[in-house]
Amino acid sequence: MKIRLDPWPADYESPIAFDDFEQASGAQVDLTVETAHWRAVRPPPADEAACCFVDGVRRVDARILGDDGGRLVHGLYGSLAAGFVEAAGNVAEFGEIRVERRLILGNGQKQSATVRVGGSPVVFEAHSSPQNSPDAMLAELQSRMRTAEARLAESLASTRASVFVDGLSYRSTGRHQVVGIVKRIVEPYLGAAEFALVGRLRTGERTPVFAILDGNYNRYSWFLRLAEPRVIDHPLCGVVRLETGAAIGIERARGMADLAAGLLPRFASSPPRDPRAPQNLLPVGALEHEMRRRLGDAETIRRGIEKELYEQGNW
Amino acid sequence: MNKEIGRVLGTADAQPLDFWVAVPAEELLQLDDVVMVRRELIGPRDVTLYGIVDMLVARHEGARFETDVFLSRQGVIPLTHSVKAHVTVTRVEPEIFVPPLPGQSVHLASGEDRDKALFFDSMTRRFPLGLSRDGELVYGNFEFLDGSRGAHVNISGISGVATKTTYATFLVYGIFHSELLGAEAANTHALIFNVKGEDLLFLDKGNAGLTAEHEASYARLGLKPGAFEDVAIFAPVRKDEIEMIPDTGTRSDVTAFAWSIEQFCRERFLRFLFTESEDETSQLSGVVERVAAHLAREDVSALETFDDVVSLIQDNLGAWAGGYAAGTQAAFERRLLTAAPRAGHLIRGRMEEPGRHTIDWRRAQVTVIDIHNLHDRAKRFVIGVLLKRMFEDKERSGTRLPLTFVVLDELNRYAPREGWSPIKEVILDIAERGRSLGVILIGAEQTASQIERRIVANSSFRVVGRLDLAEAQQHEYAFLPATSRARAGILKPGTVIVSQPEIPIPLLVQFPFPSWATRPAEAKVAVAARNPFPRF
Repeated sequence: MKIRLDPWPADYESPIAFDDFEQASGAQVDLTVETAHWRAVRPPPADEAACCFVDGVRRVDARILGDDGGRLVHGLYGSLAAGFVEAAGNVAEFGEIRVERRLILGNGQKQSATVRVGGSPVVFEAHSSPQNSPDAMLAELQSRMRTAEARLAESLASTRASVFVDGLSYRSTGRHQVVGIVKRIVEPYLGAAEFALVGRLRTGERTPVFAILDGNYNRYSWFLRLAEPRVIDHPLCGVVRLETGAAIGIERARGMADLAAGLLPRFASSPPRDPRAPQNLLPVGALEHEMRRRLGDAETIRRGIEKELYEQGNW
Repeated sequence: MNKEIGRVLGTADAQPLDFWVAVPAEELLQLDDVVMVRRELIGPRDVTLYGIVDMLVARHEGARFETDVFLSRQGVIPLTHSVKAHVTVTRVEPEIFVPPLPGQSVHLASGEDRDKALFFDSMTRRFPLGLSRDGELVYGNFEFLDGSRGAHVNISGISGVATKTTYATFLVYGIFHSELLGAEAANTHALIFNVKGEDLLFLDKGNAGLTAEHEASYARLGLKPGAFEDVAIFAPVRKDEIEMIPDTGTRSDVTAFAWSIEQFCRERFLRFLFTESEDETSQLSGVVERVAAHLAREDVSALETFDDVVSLIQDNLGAWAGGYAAGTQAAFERRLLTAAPRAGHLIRGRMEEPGRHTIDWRRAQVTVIDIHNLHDRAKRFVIGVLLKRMFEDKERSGTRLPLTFVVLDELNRYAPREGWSPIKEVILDIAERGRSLGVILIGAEQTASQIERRIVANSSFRVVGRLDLAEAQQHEYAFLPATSRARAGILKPGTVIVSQPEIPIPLLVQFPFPSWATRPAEAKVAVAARNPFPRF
């Protein structure tokens, strides 16, 4: 057996996370929507095109446990941000970055909190979840972040030609020009024979566009290589899967696929710059860094929450 | 209201005496700008911190690798600029020493605030030091120059950029042409030695090269541009000529100077001929003293030339210095014989109009003595004799006022750190006692590290022009903060850094193009065409 490296650090989930070519989701895949010939497509580079990268970050500032008349209530103080980078020609700039803070409570409970940090109030808005477990609270925070990303992408898509969203948040935008970038291959969607092409793609090449029809969210998708793997890396490393809603129509989907293939390798990160290189794109990495900064200092906010709880309690 | 230029930042320690300011990248804030920040304290009290920007740092925020800059320029990574300024506090009003708080807004100080920041408001008598880089007036406190609280100016800088002597003469011009001296102006004198080149021989001529822009600079300084008034210019008498003809280059309408043998003997000038460092042995100076004492009593009216004086000394050396070893006597004689051809022509038996050819520093407001053509030994003789006489005159009068300014370049030759000489003694005397006698030394040298420590130590105003960077690291420039030292290496002509007692940070000032000529081509009235022999 030939052993190859998965270059991502072990702190992260592996970028290649499937074991066979069974369709776990049971979705139907149509490989012929773009072409009957299944082979690599190399579009011309598209250097000058302007594009936006949307991303979000979240952080649990403190987990809490409430006591509602003898019943345990799970919850958390959470901060999240959604923002974008606009790259056009030789300029990449941070766009708007929206920060939200939520006090998420389970079991239908709802209350907001104001925490004083230094001289300024930090308001955690009330957010209620019908469920009641620590994981569900975290999932709620994650979903809030996805919503924020989607809203931002939506507003950008009305004025910008191409908007890339990290992950699957594009799905809730309802907009056609938004492309989701999926960093990890969780499901192959292709049969073993077709999937072999993914490992053979060279930088800037993509697979033909295929349709994924699961009745829930029909979409077009394609694989794209961002960078060449080292010889010791597994050949599937350095590949992302992109998605866009099926409502766009195959012609526009093909256009988006060509644009993305011409554009994205330029933004691919390298291992010293980002542990999840090359899939975590450079503007996205910078944006995450900037958004975490905008969330404020975690330690200070936690201290503020502790102080607030102490001061409101009747001990 | 003063303009806000940034806010105290919190990623570096803010201290009562220095702090950092984050400046929006689009804001123009430069080194030497004067800023202020107000901090409110509990109770009806505010503290205002005034300071000067002495460091500016720009960075890419968000960059983690040096090469991120390229990716940013290619439009791949978004990076932002940050600019921060370091402020050294000059004044805290009232004196409650608290740090400014991060986030507080920092304003440019202008008008009265700037005067406060730089202590100009508390200077009751002030003279122009020059203009700051933003064109504002920078004052010096005259009380630290006129002897009441301090005195003297010391200027260091590499040669060849004409900064030192020009700045020295600019200071004198500013003092003489402002209202500062009042009624005493007429009796205040300056004694200026022209030790090299001919730069100072045209002080009485307006500068034809002065432009409207230069005039505007003078106007901002509160000065009227022009030449020095009431100037007497002396040059040494030409060697091997019986007539009293000045030995100069391009300017000949100046007065030739010499001393009479009578004066040389009576006033014991002999020792100023023995000023080389090798002349220092106590035995030798004993012989010099003894011979000078005898000369003072001799009848020398029949002697015509300095060679006659030498012969007289040689004939009597055995008798006058009998107590000294023959070797010492021979050493004395040898040195006397070397001095004679170099300085002997300045000492003459018979002179037409001796009064005209003797330098009297009280006759004109500004007396320029040209010695640049003289041999080193003769230069020392002239400087020694003139300063000694002037200082003795002031000692006799016993009052500080009116003041006398002495401008002397190349101090490292006349008052070197190592060794002793009569001329160093005179200069040191001026540095140490001149303050109470109203003799103000404006001395200049290339390297302050090579001149007598006490001369620099006694100077209230320390000025550096462009410095060699190795020299700038010497202890003598410890008053310059690191950034000022670095800047001293790149100062342009016309720019100096001035340190004065009340202001805790040296200020960079620009002084205007001289409004007096520094060479014949600049002189408003052609001098070369004049008849050099009006009396014959």
